[in-house]
Amino acid sequence: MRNLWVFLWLILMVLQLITYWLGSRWATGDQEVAPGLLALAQETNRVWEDYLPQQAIPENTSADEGIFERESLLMELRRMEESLKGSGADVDLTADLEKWFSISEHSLNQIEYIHYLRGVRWWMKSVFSGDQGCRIGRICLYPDGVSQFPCLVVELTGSPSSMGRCLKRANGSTRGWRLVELDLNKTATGESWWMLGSCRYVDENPL
Amino acid sequence: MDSWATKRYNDQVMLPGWKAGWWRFGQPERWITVCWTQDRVSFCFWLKEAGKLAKALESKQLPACNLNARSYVEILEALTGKQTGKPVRIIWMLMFTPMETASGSAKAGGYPVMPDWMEACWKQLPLSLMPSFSCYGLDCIVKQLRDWDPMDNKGTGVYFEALGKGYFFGFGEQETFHRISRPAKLRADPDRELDADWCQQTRMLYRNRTGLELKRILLPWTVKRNSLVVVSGDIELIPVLSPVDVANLPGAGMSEALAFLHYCLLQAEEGEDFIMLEDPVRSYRGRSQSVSTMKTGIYLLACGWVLLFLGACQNFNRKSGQDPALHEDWNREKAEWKESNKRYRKHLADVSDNALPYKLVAEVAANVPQQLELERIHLWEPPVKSQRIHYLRVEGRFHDAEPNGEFRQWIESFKDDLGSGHEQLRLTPDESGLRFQFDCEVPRRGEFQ
Repeated sequence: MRNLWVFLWLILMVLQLITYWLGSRWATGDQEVAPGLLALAQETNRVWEDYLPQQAIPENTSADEGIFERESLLMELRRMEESLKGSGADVDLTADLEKWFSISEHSLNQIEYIHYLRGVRWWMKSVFSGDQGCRIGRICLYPDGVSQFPCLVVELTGSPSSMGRCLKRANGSTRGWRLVELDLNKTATGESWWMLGSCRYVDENPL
Repeated sequence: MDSWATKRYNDQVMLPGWKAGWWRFGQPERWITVCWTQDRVSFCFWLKEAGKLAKALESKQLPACNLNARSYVEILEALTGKQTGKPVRIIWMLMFTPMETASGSAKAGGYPVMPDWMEACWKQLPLSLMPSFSCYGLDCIVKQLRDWDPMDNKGTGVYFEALGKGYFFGFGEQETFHRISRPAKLRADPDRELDADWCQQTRMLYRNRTGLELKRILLPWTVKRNSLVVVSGDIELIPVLSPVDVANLPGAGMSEALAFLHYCLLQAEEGEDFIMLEDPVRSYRGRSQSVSTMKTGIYLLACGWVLLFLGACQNFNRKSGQDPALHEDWNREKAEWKESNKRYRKHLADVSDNALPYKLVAEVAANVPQQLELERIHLWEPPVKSQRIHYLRVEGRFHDAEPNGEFRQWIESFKDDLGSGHEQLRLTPDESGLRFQFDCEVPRRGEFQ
């Protein structure tokens, strides 16, 4: 009699385990998708993409793909540079970058170049453009003793308030870049300010 | 288990039974010995103190017809009196012989066959009131008598009466002979202590069993009544003192012989060579209890399994209800969203960490007093590769002879927030007022307050 109960108990335990396993298998990844939820998720992801432009680069990116990405970034930077040159700025960014590529070809891989270039693009696009009261005097790169990547140096002239707006934008997302120096000086005329800023790329895997 | 006794016990009125607590170490132990014969039950309540002889406090006898689980519990309550609630250990002694068992044999499947009334009583008792152990009474008595010096002489037996029976024990070279008599056989002859026919029968049986001649029978506790040695046939009947030297034995309203029986039982606890009896009732009860627990467990398991199965079926239906491509898209978007969210969290943490220098410059430039003219704000990394600080220098001109409260307040406004202890303010008189230069160290990362 007692053995019968033990046997029943064991059978039930086994059934429980099997059912649990089956239930979890059926449930995994196959939950019902509510109508509209997929569209909402897609929209959310597009917003994220705009907000976080620096997508992580897949580890398995091939060398050709890397070079292609690098060159396209360089072209984009060149376009920005041309536009800044048109407004009288002294910008030789792409020339500096190409020089750096030629001397560091063997020490860095394409993914690291791409990360760095994306960071530079972010600075150019988000911080150094689009404010009327602030004029870019010079943007250049100079070698840094601490990092393998060159420091980004910028000189700005303008009213304190527009310079403040620039800094505020920089405050937004500087991941991977660390401030080296920020020097704000009142010009001799006393109406505008001149700013020298330099920052160093330290994080090789931003965002 | 749903008997009256169990309920009573569960109400905490009854004794905690044999569960003696270790925290009572050092306190007197309380024992109840119960002697079960074919038609009578005797209870005795003992107090055992360390280093002292056990003391019998109370005793009680009951004929078989009056005993059931309820009266058993009541007697235990009455014996322990006001001390209910303290732990009590219970021992049972079964005074059965092969001739007295219902089926005519001493054991059935390893257990003694017990009378119906006894079985009924035991089955009604809660497990907590079952004894710590049970033993065969005759074994316990034999063990005590073997240590008694007068029994060393060959051909010596001992006879005493307890619980309406006469007990005879005699030892051979190896064997033990015992004889239990019905009450009607006792004391047929008032002049003699023992019936002559009974003595002769005993002598014959003793000789058959041990091969020795029975020469004398010791009669304990009869010294006061008749100290003369009586000869019955060839056998000397010798009144003697108690086999055990226990002063308080008769103190609980029992006859000396009955007290001796209980004493033997109490001593069995310390002995090693007595036969412990595995009473069938306890095994039966233990089994039935575990089966009932198992039954409940199985019902619960079965209910759980039904629910689980229903849930699993529901998931299964869901799977078959939608287009797999939709799920694929959904899973991809979900993974992407999770990844973006993760990146954003990292980003937020980093922004918060790196924002300090920029915010500091804004803080310095904001709320500049009216008489103050800022000329330079310089934030730079120290030449030594310190990962922790920046230097900050603020220069300007103050159009007044000396710094006023507003100026001090402005300095304090960002100095305090930084929490930096290394700062320096240099004031130099000028043709148009005061030149000032403020230097301090700024933590590189952190949340600017």
